[in-house]
Amino acid sequence: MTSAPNETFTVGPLRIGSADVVITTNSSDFALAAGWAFSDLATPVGAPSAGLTVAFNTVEHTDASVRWSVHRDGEPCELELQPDAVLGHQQWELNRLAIESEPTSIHAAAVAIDGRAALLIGSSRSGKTTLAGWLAAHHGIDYLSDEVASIDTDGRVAPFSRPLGVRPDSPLASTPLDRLITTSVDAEAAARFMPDERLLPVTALGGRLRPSSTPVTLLVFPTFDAERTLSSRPLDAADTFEQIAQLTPGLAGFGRPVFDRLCALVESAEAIAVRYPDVRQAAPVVTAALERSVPR
Amino acid sequence: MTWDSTDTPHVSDGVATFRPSDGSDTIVFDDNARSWFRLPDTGAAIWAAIDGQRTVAQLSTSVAAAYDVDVDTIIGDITSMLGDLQDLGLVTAGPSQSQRGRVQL
Repeated sequence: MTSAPNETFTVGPLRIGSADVVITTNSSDFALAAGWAFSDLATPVGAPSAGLTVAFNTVEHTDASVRWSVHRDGEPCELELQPDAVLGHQQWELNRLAIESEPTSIHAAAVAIDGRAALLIGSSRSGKTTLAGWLAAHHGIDYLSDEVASIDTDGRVAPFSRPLGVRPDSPLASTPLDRLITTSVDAEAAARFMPDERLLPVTALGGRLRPSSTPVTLLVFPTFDAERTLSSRPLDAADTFEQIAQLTPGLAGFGRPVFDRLCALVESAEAIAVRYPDVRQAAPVVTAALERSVPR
Repeated sequence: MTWDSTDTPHVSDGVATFRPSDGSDTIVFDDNARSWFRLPDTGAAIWAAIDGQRTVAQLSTSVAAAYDVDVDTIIGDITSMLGDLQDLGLVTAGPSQSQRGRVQL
C-alpha cells in the first residue's frame, strides 16, 4: 500500500487513563498497523469524553535521513526513527501517557477474575507479559494491562489494554501469530513495522478485556527460568514492598503519596513468587492463587 | 555527632514508617530524599522506640528488656545505629531532658 500525498489517516480515539488519544499519520500502512495493534485501546463507542485529549502526529518523511518523526501535541518526541522502531516508539509514548495519568504506576501486567485482580510484577524478560497473555488466551482470565499497572487510592488497578509485546520465541508467538498474520491485512502491516517483537492485541489471541478498575488481591512475582522446576512460595510484606518499590518509578518522583499507596497495596493483597520453566505450568498456579485470594 | 545517654532522638520531619501487620521488617521512607530503608529485627525495635520522648538511656532500657539482655551490652550498638540513622537524615537529636527542663523554665 502507498500513501497519497498530503493525505492524513487517523487512529483512535484511544482511551489511555484520563485522556482520549488520537494519532494522525501520513502513512496508510502505519495507520493500518497502529489501528490493529492498538485496537483494544479504542475508546468505547458512546463513551463520554475523558476530558483531556492528546494528539500524536506520526509522520513518514521522504528524506531518507529523517525517516519517521513523532510529535505529541505539536511538541517533538522523536525526530529520526527507523521504520522498524516507529510503532514500538508509539507504544512507548502511550505507556508514558498511562504513567503520567497515575503516579502509582507499577511495572507490571494485570489480569482479573470476577472482582479480583492479580498484578504480575517484574522487570523486562521476567515473563510477565507471556504469563498475562497465556492466562487471557487459555484460562479465560480477563486482561487488564501490561507494562503499566496504575493503582488508584482504593487499591484498584486501572485497565490499560495495550497490546502485548511478544518476542518470536514466546509461546504466544507460535500458531496464533502465524494465523493472525496470514488472515489479517492489518496484522500483516503491523508485522512489517515489528520485525522482532510483535505487538498483539489480546482480543486477537482470543482473550477478553476487563474494562473497569478492579481491586488487587494478589501480587505475583514471576521469574521465567528454563533450567529450574516449577516453584511457588509466599512473600512477606517487607520482601513484597522491596520488590515492588524497585519497579515503581513514581516512588522517587512523587514520594510520600506513592509510598502510602504501596504500603496499603502490600497490606491488602497476598504475594507469591513463582519460578517456572514453562508458562503452561505457571498459569494454573496463578489462576488457583487468584481464585483463592480475598480482599483484606 | 556522638550520642549521649541523655539525648532524645526524634524521627526527622518527612520520614514515614511502614510496620507490616505480618511482623516482617520495618520499612522507613524519607520523603526528603525519596529513598527507603529496610530495618530488620533489632533495628526495627530501636526505630519503634524512637518516639521523641525517650532518651537514649530510656530507649536502650526498653530495647534491652524486649530482647532480655543487659542494657550495657546493647547501648553501644544503639548509639552506633543512631549515628547511622542521623547520617542518613532519618533522626535528629532533640534537647536532652535536662535541657528541655531549662527551656520550659
